[in-house]
Amino acid sequence: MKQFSYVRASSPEDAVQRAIAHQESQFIAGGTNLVDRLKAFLDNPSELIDVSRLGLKEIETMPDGSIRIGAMVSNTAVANHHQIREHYPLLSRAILSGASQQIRNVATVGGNLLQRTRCPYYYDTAFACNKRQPESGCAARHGINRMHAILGASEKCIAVHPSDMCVALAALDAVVEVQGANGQRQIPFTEFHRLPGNTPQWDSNLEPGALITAVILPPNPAAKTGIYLKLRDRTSYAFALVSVAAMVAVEGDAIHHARLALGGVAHKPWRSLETESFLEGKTAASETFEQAAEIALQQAQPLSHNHFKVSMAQRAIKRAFTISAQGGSTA
Amino acid sequence: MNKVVGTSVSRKEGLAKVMGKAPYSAEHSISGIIHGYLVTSTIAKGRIQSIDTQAAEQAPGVIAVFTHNNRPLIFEPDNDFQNSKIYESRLPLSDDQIYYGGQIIGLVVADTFEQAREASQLIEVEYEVETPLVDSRQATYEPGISMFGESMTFSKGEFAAGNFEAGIANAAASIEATYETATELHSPMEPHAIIAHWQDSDSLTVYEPSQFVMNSQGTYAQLFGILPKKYASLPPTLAAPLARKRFLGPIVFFVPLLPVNSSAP
Repeated sequence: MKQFSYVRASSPEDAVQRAIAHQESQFIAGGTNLVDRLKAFLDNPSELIDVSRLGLKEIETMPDGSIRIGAMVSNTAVANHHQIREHYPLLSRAILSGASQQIRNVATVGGNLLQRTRCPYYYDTAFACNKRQPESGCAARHGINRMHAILGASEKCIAVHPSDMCVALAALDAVVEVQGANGQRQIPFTEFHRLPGNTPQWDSNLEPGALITAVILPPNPAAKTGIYLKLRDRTSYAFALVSVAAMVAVEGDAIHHARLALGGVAHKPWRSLETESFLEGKTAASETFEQAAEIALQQAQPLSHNHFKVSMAQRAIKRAFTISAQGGSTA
Repeated sequence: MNKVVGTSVSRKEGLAKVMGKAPYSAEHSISGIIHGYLVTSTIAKGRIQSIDTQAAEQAPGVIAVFTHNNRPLIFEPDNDFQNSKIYESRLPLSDDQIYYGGQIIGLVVADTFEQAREASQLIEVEYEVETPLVDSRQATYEPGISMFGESMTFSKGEFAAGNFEAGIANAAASIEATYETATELHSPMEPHAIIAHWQDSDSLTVYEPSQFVMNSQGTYAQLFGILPKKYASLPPTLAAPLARKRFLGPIVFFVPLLPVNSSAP
């Protein structure tokens, strides 16, 4: 590990100013991913700016009924919060399906959004990786790519975003509140992360030096029936092969407010708007959800080792929608 | 009658283990300890064309860098299973050949673990890369090293199957059921770590996880050319059953490379 200096920011504005003034600095909050990356020689900051003591630890209900979660709230605190459990059970489920209790106790909401892929070729500096070293090549594309992307990948990168929480947040139309050099702005969750294209070194659209201050959950008529279904090699402490955040509100027999996001399949939490508009107004029935699942994976381009992900995702989507249409299950 | 089956026997150190009070080998504290960090091959087969350790040697805290170019003398053990046993018959840093990915190709010794690790990243290796054999169907079946005086030979197995369908159709009775075995991964609780403490030039105490202490003692003695009785192996309570460690792996060879009062994790 390289030598680096460590400073504590006194406010979000101070943190941003420091980060902009010191280009080789990085924010640290829970550090559950960053410290691993430091040890693996992936990140070499000359300064760490500690943003874990800035407050930003509240979960509050806003006048319009939305819930604002401070960026430094621990994953555990979000998952256990009574209003999250009651109104957004799939978010609670998604969080609890990831990592371990010890990691969730320390990991923050903001950090969860900014964790990086666990692609083994990214982690091993002996291999070529465009994400780690732009224009060096991608060893994963013709390597053991079983865990990798089937949607939205590029020639340059086939890595997947590792978060469970983010898949639920994408389905819930969350909004990311950001403090930048020019003040605060809000980014719709689906526009926060990006696809790899030719610049896989950038995971998100966050500008350099900007700090996530909160994640906002708008009121959602279908969220109580929301499902998070995660399929993986082991039943705990494993990343998703495929995960599904899905919800529908059923009035009579008709589907309204369908939402679908997939994890473990793309460089970002994969929201499928085509599937959602297909479902709007349709009858909640097995064939409907089967068709929805096919639409969601129409663009899939599996790699040599992960053809199984396509049918696995389709079945998981059908199952998640079916349970949601029956009223879901609580966290 | 000797009742063994059905009798529960408590492990002597069981309570300490479940309470987290049994020390791991790396947890023993010795004053003046220095640290070693291994440099491993990033290719699976080939040879080292060049290995540049200059920058590493000049890095802060670094005491020495060892490669196949400057390995100190160690002796070939009998490897007869009774007096000594090592996993790899080829001693590490013997030459420039690479036989597998992750093979040890160097050792950085420094005041702190972090300094040794940091310096290890400054070593530049150039390889002549060959294609490794990874398909067991193309195995060469060359004889292995001998054990107990008997040579180990391997031959291609022959497999034959009868007609299952016909057999089951003509069976007097049949049962259909599915039996599944979940994958179980045996993960060591402590990664390989050794502390070596030279009391003087021919007296050594080693802290290592081992299932086979007497054998380790003999192996160390032969490797380093010291008398077994001068050498005391103090097995940490957390020994091999938890840690997948029976015989001495390649890392132990680095113990003698270090001066008195040193350690090689």
